[in-house]
Amino acid sequence: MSIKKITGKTISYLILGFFALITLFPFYWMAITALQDSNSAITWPPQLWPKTLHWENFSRLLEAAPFGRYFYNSVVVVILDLAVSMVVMSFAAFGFSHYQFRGKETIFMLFLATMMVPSEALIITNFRTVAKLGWFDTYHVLFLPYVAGVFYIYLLRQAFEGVPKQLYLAAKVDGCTDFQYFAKILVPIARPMMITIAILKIIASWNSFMWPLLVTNTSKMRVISYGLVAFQSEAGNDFPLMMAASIFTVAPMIVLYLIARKKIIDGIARGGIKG
Amino acid sequence: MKQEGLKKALPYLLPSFIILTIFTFYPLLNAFIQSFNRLPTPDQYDFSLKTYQWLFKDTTFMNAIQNTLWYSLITVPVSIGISLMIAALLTSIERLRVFFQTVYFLPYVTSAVAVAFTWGYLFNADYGLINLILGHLFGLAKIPWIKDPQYAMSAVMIFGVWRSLAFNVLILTTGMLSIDPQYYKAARVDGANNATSFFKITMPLLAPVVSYVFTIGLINAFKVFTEVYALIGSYARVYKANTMVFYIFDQLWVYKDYSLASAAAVVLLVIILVLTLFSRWLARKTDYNAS
Repeated sequence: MSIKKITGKTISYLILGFFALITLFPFYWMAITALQDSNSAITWPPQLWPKTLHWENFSRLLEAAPFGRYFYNSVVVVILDLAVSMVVMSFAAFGFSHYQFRGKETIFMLFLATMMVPSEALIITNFRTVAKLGWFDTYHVLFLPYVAGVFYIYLLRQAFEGVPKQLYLAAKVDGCTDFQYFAKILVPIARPMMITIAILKIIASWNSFMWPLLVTNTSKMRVISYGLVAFQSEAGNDFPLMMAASIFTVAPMIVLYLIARKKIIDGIARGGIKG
Repeated sequence: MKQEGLKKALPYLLPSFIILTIFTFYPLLNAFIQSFNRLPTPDQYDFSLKTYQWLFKDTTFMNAIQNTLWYSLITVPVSIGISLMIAALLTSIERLRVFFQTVYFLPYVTSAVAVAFTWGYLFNADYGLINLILGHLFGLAKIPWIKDPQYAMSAVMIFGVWRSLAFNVLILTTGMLSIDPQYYKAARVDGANNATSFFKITMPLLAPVVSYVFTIGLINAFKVFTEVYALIGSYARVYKANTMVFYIFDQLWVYKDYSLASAAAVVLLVIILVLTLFSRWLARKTDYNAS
């Protein structure tokens, strides 16, 4: 390698390292602030590394606000969301991929067209709808409006259509009903896509914010993102506790990301390239 | 035969169809109807164009549109510019590429609210690290980033760029890596240097991908809400950091004026529709494979 090439490479790595630092720094700051004592978090200048680590901040946090409950609520909502939406979406994908009927592609286009509609334009009516249904402060209100993700239906339909028709004919010969073929053959074959979609759904569900804010009144039913915002108005300037609460919120998704990094990145990239 | 297909498909399609009808098609239609209601709640209806007149006379809404426009016009190009550079560097290296990719994508999966609070602390006028660094390097006085109309929107934009890098870097890097290396080999034989290769090969072939991230970026920027709510707070309008979705939220949540909220939502919807159609057109125009 020539000198010029080595210098070029070094500069590349320096720039990439710089942006990696900028990306990671807020997370580092969140973590070490969570371990500061409340007074040194509001001293000038700020400390880049706390002298003593105050792990008791986490127990102080749990005494100050029911974050255990918020966390539990979020987990429940994610699980219910996942269970219902995977059934609804794979059903829809199967209906569109397996059967032929007049107007099918028109209906499918109508489904896809809703992707252009910002959900923010829909919450006005949805807010009143769920109020009339008496759904405030329930688990199902937090996810039910979002279980039919049309983009995921589109991805699943593609995955299902990639399965050769011979498998269906063979299953028919073996006496399978359409539903058995769907549940026992099609879904297992499309498992990689199902898992990718499930993970993306988990992330979206866990991080959702505006809708929970609107349809939750009691603190008992708050999900974690709403609990975090509510805690801010209560905790005010206790930054270590705020950051400890933030860690509760981001940690599960970071763990999921580190485990399923490839699935997540592939899923998002696929959506990006296919449009 | 054809109708039999529908009969069999129906049980599978019905759940999603019901959900979409109740929570997407109906509210979409209703937003249009409600936006022409002179009275604030749907309990009484009086068809009128007045709501739109009020909307565009409302200085808070005009400020919200202005902020949203500035936010979109600044954060999207800045973020894509930085992302293009990062993506180009990422494709030029092999060692540590996966590591860097993993790092850059992290903000995408983490809650905007939680990260916004950390940024709020970094931006804090008295104890924030950003003011410390600015003071050290440039001798600047402490800037009240969050609680001052002059700076609040800038803080939101910086945070917005930081957050949007994740998606843009991923898509642009994936796009660049999918370009056939043969092109670069051929160019090198012809004596092209790296810069020439980038502008004559990468950029033209990447144009559809760039137009895609540009559109998605603009659409998301026009819908900016959580970033503002979590960073500036529920009184963003006081700090002149209102955005269009924030305005909808305020009308709905604080003033209970469903008609004004709907009219604002229709305006947002039209903007996003135009952006989407524009991007379709742009994608077709820039796609080398299609022409």
